[in-house]
Amino acid sequence: MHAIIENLPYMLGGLPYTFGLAVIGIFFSFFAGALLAILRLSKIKWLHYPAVVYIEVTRSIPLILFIFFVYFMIAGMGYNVSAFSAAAIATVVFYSTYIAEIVRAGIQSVDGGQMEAARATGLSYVRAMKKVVLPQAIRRMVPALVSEFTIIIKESSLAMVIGVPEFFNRVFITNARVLTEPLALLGFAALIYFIICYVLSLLSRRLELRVDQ
Amino acid sequence: MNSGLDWQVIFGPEGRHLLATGLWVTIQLSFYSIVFSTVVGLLIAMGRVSQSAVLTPLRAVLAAITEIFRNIPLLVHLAFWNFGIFGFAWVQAAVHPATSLYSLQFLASICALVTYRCSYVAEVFRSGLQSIPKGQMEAARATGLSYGKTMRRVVLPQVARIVIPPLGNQYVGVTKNTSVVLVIGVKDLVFQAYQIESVTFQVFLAFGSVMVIFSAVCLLESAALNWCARWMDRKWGGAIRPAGKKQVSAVTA
Repeated sequence: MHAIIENLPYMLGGLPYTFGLAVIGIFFSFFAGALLAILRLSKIKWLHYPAVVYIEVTRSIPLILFIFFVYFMIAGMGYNVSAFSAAAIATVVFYSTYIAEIVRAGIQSVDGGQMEAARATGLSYVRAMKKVVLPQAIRRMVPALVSEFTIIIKESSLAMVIGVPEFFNRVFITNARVLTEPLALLGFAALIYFIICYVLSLLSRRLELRVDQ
Repeated sequence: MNSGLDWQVIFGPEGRHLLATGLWVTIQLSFYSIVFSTVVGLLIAMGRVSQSAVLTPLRAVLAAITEIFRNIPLLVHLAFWNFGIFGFAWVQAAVHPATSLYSLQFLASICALVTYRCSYVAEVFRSGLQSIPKGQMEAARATGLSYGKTMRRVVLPQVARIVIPPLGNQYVGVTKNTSVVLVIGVKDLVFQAYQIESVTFQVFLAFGSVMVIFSAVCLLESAALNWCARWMDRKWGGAIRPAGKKQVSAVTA
């Protein structure tokens, strides 16, 4: 207990990095993911297949490899990149493919008749997508996006491997320094993550109920 | 940094050896974790769908466990097992026979991967079990089959076909999750890539080759699961699809 109280400000000081990484991650990967999803749903072959390959291959590679790759690649090319930005780029590259699948499922969950009816009234494809299909799709995607946000918060702890001073990295360092209270310190980390993620998952479930109505 | 690509780094005798040993560790880790998380997950799911009133406290405990385990990052599981539980002298003594084969860190990694993944697997099995109409169980029991036999012969074969696709995603997830064990010093593929990179500075080749290996392993794994699903369809007829509206759900990493 003593170790937790003594290092509390230091450890909790990592939470802004954790949340920063997660917010930047979900924000940019939503737009990248939406683009990928639209490419994947496209009927034009040379847009469809590259998107499929990119999504499937990226989804079969662990995030940690992207973090290492991005960080060392950019640093190796001679640019000065902070560990945080490298981790953020890796997160966006990685999670955009997951969000692409959510967006795709969202668009596909909208009944095909909606698009046909909108087109029949004279709207163009882009306008029908923007005004009719996407608003319905996004409403259905929100719970899944909140869950994905929870997952990104959890996975942002991986950024510790390149030294981003986020929450778990600080707990890890504290634990290595104190040495005598691993159960208390790591239990504390588990508790904090549990509270954050549990609240978000409750939110996601409530949104799901509202969407179902 | 060396700008040219030095393919010797991964295809030379030393590089090949490092990558092969790393791959072997990764495969062992994912094999054990998949097996144990399937067993633990199935047990949790069967406990959670049980009907008897005596088991109500058990159901509450299992529900709490799944909820807690899945909301904690894998790295925390890993550190907790490695520094916390495997730090006790009596735990080290208890697993002592196994340490002639595997290091303590390796065992801690398997435990962490299983506790993290079993809650996801349990949810997959639970929704599979709940999607089987109650009438199946009742009809089978009415014909005189015991509970165990009904489960084995009637319910589980139907569940198996429903859960294989989502279970496949979980298995691929396990294989990808094994990559974090380098944090506690298990010499898996990513660890070897890191080693190769830190000696040769060939970032692209070191991490690129491991990315290729990982995607090959994961794609093979999902192909195997697909084949398995088709084999079951051939054996028992087409898969039943759970009724209900298709929901947009998050994808676990």
